Amino acid sequence: MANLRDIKKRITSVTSTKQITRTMEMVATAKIRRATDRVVAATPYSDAMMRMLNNLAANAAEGSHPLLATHAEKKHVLFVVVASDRGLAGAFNTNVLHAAEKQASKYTEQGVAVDYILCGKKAIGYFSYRGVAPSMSFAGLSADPTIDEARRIASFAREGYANGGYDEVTVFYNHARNAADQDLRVEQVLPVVVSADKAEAEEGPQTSFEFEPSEAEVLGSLLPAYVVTTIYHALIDSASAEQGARRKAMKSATDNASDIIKTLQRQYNRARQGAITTEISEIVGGAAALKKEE
Amino acid sequence: MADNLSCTVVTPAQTVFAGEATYVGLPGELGGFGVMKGHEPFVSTLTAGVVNIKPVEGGKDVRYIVAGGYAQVDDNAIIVLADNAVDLSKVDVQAIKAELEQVEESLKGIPEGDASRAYYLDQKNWLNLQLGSVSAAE
Repeated sequence: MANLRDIKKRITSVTSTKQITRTMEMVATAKIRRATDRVVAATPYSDAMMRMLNNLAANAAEGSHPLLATHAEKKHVLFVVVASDRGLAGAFNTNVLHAAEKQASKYTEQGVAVDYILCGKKAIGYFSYRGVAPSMSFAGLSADPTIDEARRIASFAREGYANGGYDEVTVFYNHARNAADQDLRVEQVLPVVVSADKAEAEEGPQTSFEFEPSEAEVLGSLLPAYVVTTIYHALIDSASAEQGARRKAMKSATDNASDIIKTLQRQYNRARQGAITTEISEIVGGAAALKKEE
Repeated sequence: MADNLSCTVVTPAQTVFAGEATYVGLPGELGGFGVMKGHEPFVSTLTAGVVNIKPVEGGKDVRYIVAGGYAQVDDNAIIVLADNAVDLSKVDVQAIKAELEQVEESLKGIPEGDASRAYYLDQKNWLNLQLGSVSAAE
């Protein structure tokens, strides 16, 4: 029976797909750990930096430093879009890319030019298909972002902003809420927004620090480092989110494959049983016919 | 309260050193300074140089080359936020020289005034600093 063979073939094919998705799931699970470790390793620095910046917040009046000053007119903005190098991670890439594109078309309508820094092959592919030439692009680093990559982006953005070439720098990335869920985050990197709320939210009385050489100078050198930290954090957070998203996507793919295999196996058994029943009844019928002739 | 100063050296990527120290020498922007326990709350910017940590257990000083950063002293704890840090005793001069050549090569390909030059210039300074610190220590 041809049908029987077709079903068998499909079962084989779905089984091998399942094997692949299950392997990818396991690989992603292993990588989540590494990515989370990296976020944890980077936390002491960014926490200490936030604390210092908040201590300086009182002095951080707008315009006291070029990176704090909001430009009067918004004519040229820079988007840093952090996506991944590989697909098969559910809506991970589409979320970020659509958000960036939507924001860009809004700006374009207002006559604001948009430049891009793209991280990840998926982002590069998506935007180059739409005829966008990025100012900078990074491929092959999405799973293991380096501080060097963050420095390159940060120094480009910082120079661009200080020269007046860009009036705003925004980063689009996925935040790993936990190992399974991701949130899209859109953060303004420049001009730097120092929120006094955060300082207030911190528990306990604030220690008053002596600053050397002076508060303004400490602030001046802290801000560029803060930009690097923000971007680096976005990159590693996104890398962690990517593995989480992939694991989730691959888990549901594996589950679906299992369901399909079950259904196909049932169909196969039914078809096989049907064939046997037909054969038996044919034999019985044939035997009965022979007996009558005797 | 701890009898000693707890010292942490962190870079954006990782914690480089965490431990108790009796004394930490730092390359402050206004000149080198040392911190011992009981220091006042204090924040200073650091220039490129060497951070010198005297561990409680005694033995050799732990030294790190840092490419600038900040030091924050608060409640007998010092946090050194280094832009980049490397253990002085683990610097591989040959590898650095090779890397420096590569950076020079990349710089040649980028026209003056291009924003992406900044990264390579930073990198060059950092590599030169490591070479300089190593030869000064010898």
